[in-house]
Amino acid sequence: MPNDTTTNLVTGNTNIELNPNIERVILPTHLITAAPSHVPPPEQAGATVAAVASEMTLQTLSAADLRMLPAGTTATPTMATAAMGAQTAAAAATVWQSGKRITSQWTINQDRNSWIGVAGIGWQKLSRASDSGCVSLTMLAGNALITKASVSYRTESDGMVHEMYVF
Amino acid sequence: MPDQTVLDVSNIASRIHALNLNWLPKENPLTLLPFNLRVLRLGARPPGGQTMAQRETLATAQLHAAAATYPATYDARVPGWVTPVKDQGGCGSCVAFGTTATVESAVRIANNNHALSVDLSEAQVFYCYGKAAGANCESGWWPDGALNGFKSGVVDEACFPYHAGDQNCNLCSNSADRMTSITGWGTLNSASAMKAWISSHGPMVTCFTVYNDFFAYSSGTYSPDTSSGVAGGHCVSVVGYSDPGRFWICKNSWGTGWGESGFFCIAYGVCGIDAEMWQVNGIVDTGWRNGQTVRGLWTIDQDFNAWAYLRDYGWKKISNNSDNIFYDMLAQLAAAKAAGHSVSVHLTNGVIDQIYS
Repeated sequence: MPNDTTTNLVTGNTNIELNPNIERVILPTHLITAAPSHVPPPEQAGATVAAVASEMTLQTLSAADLRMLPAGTTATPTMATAAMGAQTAAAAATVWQSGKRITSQWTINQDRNSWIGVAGIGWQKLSRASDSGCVSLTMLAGNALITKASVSYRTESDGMVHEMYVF
Repeated sequence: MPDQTVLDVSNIASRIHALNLNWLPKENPLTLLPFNLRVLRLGARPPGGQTMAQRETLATAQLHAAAATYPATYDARVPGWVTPVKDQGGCGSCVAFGTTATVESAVRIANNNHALSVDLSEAQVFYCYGKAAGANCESGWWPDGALNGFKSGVVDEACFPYHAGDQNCNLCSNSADRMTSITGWGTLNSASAMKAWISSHGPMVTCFTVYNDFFAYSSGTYSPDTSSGVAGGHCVSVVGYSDPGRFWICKNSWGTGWGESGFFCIAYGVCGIDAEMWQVNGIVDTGWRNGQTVRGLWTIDQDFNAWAYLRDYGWKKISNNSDNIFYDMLAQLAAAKAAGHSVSVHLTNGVIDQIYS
């Protein structure tokens, strides 16, 4: 189990209890198919991209880290990083993870097969529901990795990430 | 020969005491004005043969209308929905100020941002839309016309700054890109419905009869000494109310030096204050939103569904008109967020469809 508190989805994604310190936002009804329902925390004075970048450490993959995969299988990331800890916990029903850091990403030349490494949790696969959804999640995760941003995301019983905030 | 009489505030104070009214007068720059200049601080003129006196009768009758569900007290200043008090000066343009103040509050509410810097042009409302309708500083106007002007669009204050005095409509060169529009407006004529609207949707516009003692208002809950005489009609924005105190809270347009820092409380049912109020139905979320930072991104595993959180305007959906449009914009916004780079975003009905970064 991750150290951070997780909270179940209650009645759909507009009623989630993601973080009691995050304010709700009201959206125009014509835009509500699925839409974000929480706003970023207050801006912190003095936080700069340069400062964030200086905290980042690059990882170099050794040859031993790279594994060949049998043809025709759906690959999974197998390399763990120190920051990630143990393997992903067994999937429950809907679970929100709040205030997380993305430390790694993994993709392979297979359709909709993109993963994120989350500090304190481990590898999590991004939803395969659609091309654009998978790409969008990957792009947001990339942004979060670059900026060390706070990430909140929703997983379902399939263990995959279906929704993500990057603040 | 103009009436050069200034208001005798000590006499007003004596009358308030004698009538056991619940407010305090004070000498101020308006009480020192002669009558003909004082009434230029007003400017409400009912259309079509209606009179302000008829509205006073109506307001008293409607006090006993059926109750609706609303809190006992509400003040839109507390959550920060009310923009700063302005001064209409010596021009009967109160209609422009009352409606603009109400629309500005609606903009803040629509964007769920109490700190949003919104300052719309009363000058355009009065000297463009009002002038086209035949209004001038001495004739006054009525909220219907001003709100119709807002349906067409009103620029920000910097595009056409307000100065008191009849003048030509003179918008800035890029005015078309600087418009704020409302989706529509309506009127309510039951006090309980007004309270329900104000507490759930935001401030409303109202017009009422001004008696001469009103110019000397300093604090408390105003009720008129009708013997002071009618000065004219006036429009303001109603920002709250109190059932225990039985008063409306209004934002005036006579500067912060008048009344309670520019605001006043007025008793239910007097002066026609609650005969009828005008509501703003919504804000058209179209136009450029400049100088923003991207404070958040959101996506879900649905086709082409990602949103960006703009610093002042909250969550906005990224256009999904085509796959490449969607990816281009998401990539650009993600890069701007990573760099902390300022962006200028164009919205059409709340959807991001153009970005500079």
